[in-house]
Amino acid sequence: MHALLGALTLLLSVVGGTLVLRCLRRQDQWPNRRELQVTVLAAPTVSLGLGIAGLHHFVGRTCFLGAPPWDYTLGLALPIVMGTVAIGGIAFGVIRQLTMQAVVASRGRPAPPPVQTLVERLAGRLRTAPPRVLLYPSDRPLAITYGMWRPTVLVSPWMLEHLDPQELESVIAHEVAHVARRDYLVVWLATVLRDAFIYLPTSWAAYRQLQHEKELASDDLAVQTTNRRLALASALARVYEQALTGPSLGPAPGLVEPERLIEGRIERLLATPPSPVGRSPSRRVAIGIAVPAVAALLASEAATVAALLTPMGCGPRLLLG
Amino acid sequence: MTLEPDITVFRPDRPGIRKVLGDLEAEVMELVWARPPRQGATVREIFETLYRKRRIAYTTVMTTMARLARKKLLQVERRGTAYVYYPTFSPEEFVSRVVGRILENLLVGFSGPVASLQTLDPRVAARVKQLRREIARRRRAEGDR
Repeated sequence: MHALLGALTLLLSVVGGTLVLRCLRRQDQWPNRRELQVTVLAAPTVSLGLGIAGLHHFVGRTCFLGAPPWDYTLGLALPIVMGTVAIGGIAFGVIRQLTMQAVVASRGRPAPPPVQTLVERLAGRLRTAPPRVLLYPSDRPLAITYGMWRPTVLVSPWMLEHLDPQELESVIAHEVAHVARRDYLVVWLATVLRDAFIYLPTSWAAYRQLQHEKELASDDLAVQTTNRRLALASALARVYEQALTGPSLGPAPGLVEPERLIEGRIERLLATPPSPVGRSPSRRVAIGIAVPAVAALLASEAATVAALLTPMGCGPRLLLG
Repeated sequence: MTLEPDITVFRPDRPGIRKVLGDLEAEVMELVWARPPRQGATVREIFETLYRKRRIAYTTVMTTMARLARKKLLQVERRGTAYVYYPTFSPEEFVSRVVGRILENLLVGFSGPVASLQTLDPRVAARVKQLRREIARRRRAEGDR
């Protein structure tokens, strides 16, 4: 019974997550899509919480005395393994962030004044605080935004040397769009949640969607800010070409068929008007479907556990009291 | 094409270049770097230095240096009957390149996961060229937008 309860809560996370991701087909607003993707990534924390709360009765209460020993062992092992993996995911996220900060602190240099001015101008247009801009010595195309509380835009000299002024403005606008959307924080959180529940297929599916869509959303915002749709497509194509002929460090983890993603972005920018995200124009309808789906998922997890435990004398009152 | 070290592992718990190289690989690189860059080093020279510190087989050193050459950390030239190995990068250059690559793989940047895009498929390269031509044509027509 212990093992069944643990497995059931995980199954509910996967089924609920799959349903929410399906509901996203009816959602065409980037911020709403991102919220739901993060919710799918965070939903297994309920399973973990229930599993860890269940450990309480192993040590302090006596329930399911007739359960076979393997059930007892599995019921104990499941939340402990889940908790250990989750702690590992969080630790890895913190180490990654600290590594990034240490590397940038030792090698990053202030960007040239024209780039600083460009960032300030674009941040003003997007009504966000201008991020710190640093030049990172690398002979490869590089433009990233990272940080937790204070976002930093990092560009390599390759970008300044090989892109024309319009392309560079588009790239910087794309990075400032990440800052305005707080992608640096959301992606960090999403990566930690994916690593904490790395064994769930819905975690990977939601993470892949979120990673891909943050680029599309920032492309849209950059085009709205600069009105340079073709320059952004041109910069992407240049970087794509360099990546194809340049050196490789092996596959980037977690993302498949990247050539389709980057080509898709270029083709989307070349299309006029940009392709819509979803099919339904109604935000209210999409939210009306997706939010109850998430709420039902969380409620059903708690209700299932309570319903299974109560007839056996191990109801919530006994567990918590 | 720029030579890049072919590094596929990263162990944050190890010190210095051992984060990305095995212990023997790191020792060999340190010995090669300790010599004047243009002088190079033969397998025997590295073997004799290493052998003084610990008993190690000649063939182990030979295999390790060949592996470092495949990883593009060493370049090999034939001098008479011997093969001489030269470092492809200075220690500072090597660290800089490795750090750059790790950095790029830690976060997904402007172009998405470009680190995995390298391909020898001529159809993909042709497709990129075609896209660039189309973009250039439309930019000219619409005034550099």
